[in-house]
Amino acid sequence: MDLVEVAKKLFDEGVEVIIGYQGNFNVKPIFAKANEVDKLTFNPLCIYNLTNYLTMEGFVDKVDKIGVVVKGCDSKTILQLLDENAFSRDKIVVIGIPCNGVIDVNKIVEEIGEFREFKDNEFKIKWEGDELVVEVNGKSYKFPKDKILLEKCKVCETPNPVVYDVLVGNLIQQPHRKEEFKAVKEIESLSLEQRWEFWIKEFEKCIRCYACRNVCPLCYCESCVLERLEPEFVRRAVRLDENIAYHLIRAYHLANRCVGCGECERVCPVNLPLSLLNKKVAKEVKDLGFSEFLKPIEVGR
Amino acid sequence: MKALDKANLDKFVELLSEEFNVYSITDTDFSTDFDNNKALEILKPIKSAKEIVFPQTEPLFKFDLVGKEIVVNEKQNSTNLMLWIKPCDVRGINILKKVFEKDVKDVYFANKLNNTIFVGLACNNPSRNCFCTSVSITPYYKEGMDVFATSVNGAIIFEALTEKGKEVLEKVNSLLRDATKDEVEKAKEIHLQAENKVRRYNFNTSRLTWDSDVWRISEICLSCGICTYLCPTCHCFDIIDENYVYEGERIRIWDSCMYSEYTLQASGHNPRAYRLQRLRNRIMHKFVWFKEMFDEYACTGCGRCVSYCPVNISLIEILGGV
Amino acid sequence: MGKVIVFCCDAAYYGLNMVSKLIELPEDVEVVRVPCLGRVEFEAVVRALLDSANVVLAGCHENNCKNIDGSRLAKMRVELLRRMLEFVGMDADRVKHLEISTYEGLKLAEFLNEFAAR
Ligand code: SF4
Ligand code: SF4
Ligand code: SF4
Ligand code: SF4
Ligand code: SF4
Repeated sequence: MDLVEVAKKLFDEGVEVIIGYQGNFNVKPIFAKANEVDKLTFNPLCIYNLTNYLTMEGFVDKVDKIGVVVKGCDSKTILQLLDENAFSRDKIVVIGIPCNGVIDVNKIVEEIGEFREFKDNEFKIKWEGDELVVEVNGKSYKFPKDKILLEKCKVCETPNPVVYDVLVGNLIQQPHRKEEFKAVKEIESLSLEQRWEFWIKEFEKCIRCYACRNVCPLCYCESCVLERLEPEFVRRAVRLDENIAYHLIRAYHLANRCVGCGECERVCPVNLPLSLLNKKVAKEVKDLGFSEFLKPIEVGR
Repeated sequence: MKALDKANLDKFVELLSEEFNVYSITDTDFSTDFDNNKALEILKPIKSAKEIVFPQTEPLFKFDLVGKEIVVNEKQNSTNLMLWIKPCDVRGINILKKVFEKDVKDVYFANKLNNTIFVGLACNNPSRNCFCTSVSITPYYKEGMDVFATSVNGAIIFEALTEKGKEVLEKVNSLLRDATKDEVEKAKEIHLQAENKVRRYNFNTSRLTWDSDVWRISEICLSCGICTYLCPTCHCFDIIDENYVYEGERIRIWDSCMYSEYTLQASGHNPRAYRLQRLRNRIMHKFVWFKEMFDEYACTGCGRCVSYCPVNISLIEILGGV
Repeated sequence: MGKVIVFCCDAAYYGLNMVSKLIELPEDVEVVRVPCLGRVEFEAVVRALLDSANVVLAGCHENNCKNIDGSRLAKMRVELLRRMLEFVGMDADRVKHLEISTYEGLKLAEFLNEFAAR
C-alpha cells in the first residue's frame, strides 16, 4: 500500500490528523486532515523529523489520535519520548517508512545549477538503486548516492523504523553500519589549543536563535533553563562565554537522550557543527557506562 | 565616474584600512577579517548588515553596587566602512532609520549610523530567493549609500553619492582612473540584466487579514526566530540588566516576536501564546502595519527568511506570490 | 589565582567544620553547602567556570551516600563535564570531584589549600 492509501485507512479508523510531508520540491511538513490526505508524500527531500511536533504547544493533548510519519532515525525519537512518558502510546499511530537516505534540497539546486524555483508538479525525485534520479520538466539528472547523501545518513544504523504501527514500503536490507565517531576522533586528536581555537571560531558565530533547541524533538521542557531568570545560568548577552555556556548545557541536557537525528545541525543558520558535540557526549556516555544507569533506548524493542 | 582595476584591490583595501575600520562580506557576516577577492564574489552573508548599526548585544551602561557609580558606555569615535554592502542591506538600514528616528531619536543607533560609511555594490548575480524587485527596490538601488560601485569585468567603477563618499574616493584617488565610456555602458547593462534575473511576484497584501486562512502554515513553524534574527529590517529589542555579584551592566539585545517569551507578561498572561498569533504578527507588521505608518513595506526582499527557515515557510507563498 | 567554589554535601560540610580550628581555608575559597551532591545542578558549575571560578564538588563516598545515588550521579556528571570541557579546549582540571566522608575534613581542607594555590 502506498502512503495515501494507508493514510485514508487510518482516517477511517479514527485518526484525526496525520503529521506528514507535502510537496515534491518545496517539501514541508503538513498537519493533514482527512480532506487533505492526497497531499501526503514521501521522497528523498523529506528531511524533517516530524516527531518534534508531537510535543509542541501541548498538541497531543488536544487531539485524540494522531498519525505521524517517521523515517528510521525519527522513529528512535518516539522510543525515547515514550521512555520519558511524554505521551501515551495509544495516542499516536506511527507510520514507518524504511528510508534510503535523505538529501538537502540546496545541494540539488546547486548541482542542477538552475536559477529558478521548480514547481511541485514539474519536479520528480527518487532513489534508483545507488543513484538519485531527478526529473525536471522531462529532463533527467542522475547523482551517485555517496556524493549527495546527507552526512548523518552515511552512518545511519537504522534505515528501518524501530517502532511502527503501519509500514509503508518494504524493509531495507542494508549492510550493517556502525557509528565510528570519525569526526569526533579527528577533533580529539588535535592539541588543547587547537581545539579551543576551532571551537571559539564556531561558538562566536552563534546568534542564539535557539533554533537548535526548538527543532530538537527531545528539547520539550515547558520551562527551559535558558529562559529562567532566577537563577540565570545563561545570561542573555550574546558573547563568546555565554554562547559556550549555552552549548555545553544544551549538549549536556541531551546526554544519553539525543538520538542523532541531526536536526539541530541542519537548522542552524550559521552552520555550527552541533553533531560533533552531540556525538562526543554520546561517545563518552557509552564509555562511562551511563546507559546502564540511565535507561537506554532499546533499539528494536 | 572612477574605476579601479581589480589587480589593485588589495592596495585599495589597505589604503582604506588606514583610516577606517573596514568591514566586508564573509560567508556568515560582515567582518573586519575578510578575504578581498572572495568578498566581491559572495552575494550576501547569512547575517544581515544591521548588526553594524544595531548590534545584537549593545552595552548601554555599567553600574556598581558598592560605589553607586554609573558609567555610560562611551560613544564610538572611529569610523566604520562597510565595503560591498548590497542594496537590500542598505535598504534595511534605511528602514531601521525610520523606526529609530521617529519621534525620539535613538542616540545609540544614530551614533553608529553617523560613524558608518556605506560603499555599496550592485548585485550581478542575484540568488534564487531574492525578490527585491517585488518590494520596490532593484539590484542597483543606491539610496543611503555613500559610494555606489559596480563590478564590470576586470574593474570596479565607483560613483560618489554624498560628501562622505567623495572623501573616501579622494583617499584612494591614487589607485583610481577614469572609467571608460564602455565600462559605464556595460555597468548599465549589468544592472538591467540583474534586475531581469530577480524573480518578480505580484504580492497580494489584501489577503493578510486577521482570520485569514494563510496563517494555517504556522502549524509547522518552530518559533525559532531565525527569520527575525537574520532579517535586515527586524528591530525588536529587549533591555535587561545583567548582574555580576557587585556590579552589573544594562544591555540592549535583539528579541524576536517569534518567541513565546516575547509577549509574556509578569502576570503570566501571554497575549501571543500561539505560533499562529506570532507568525501573523511578523508578517502583518512587515506588510500591513508598517505600510500604514511609513507607506512602505518593512521588507527588502533579501530572501533570508525564505532561505533559512528550517521548515521552508515562505513569505512569498504567504503573500500569494506563487 | 581564581576563586574556588566548593559544593559540599552535608557530610563533607561537617567534616570541614570539624577541622576549621586546625586548618584555615584560603580567602578565595567559597563553601556552598548543599543537602546532597546529587542536587548540584551542572549548569551552576558551568556558570561558575565561565565566570572564571574553579569548582570542587565534595561529597560522600560512592556507596556511602545517604541518598543512595547522589554521590554517584555527581561523579558521573563531573566526569562527563570534564570530558566535554577537554573537547572544546578548556582546562578540565578546573572542575574536581572528591569523595569526602565526615571524618576526612582534613583531607578536603588540605586539598583546597593546594587547589587554590595552583
Ligand atoms: S539517518 Fe537513516 S533513517 Fe534518517 S534520514 Fe538518513 S537514512 Fe533515513
Ligand atoms: S541554531 Fe545555530 S545559531 Fe541558533 S542557537 Fe543553535 S547553534 Fe546558535
Ligand atoms: S540534539 Fe540534535 S541530533 Fe540530538 S535529538 Fe536533538 S535535534 Fe536530534
Ligand atoms: S524561521 Fe521559520 S520556523 Fe523559524 S520562526 Fe521563522 S517561520 Fe517559524
Ligand atoms: S522579511 Fe525576509 S525577505 Fe524581507 S527583509 Fe526580512 S529576511 Fe529579507
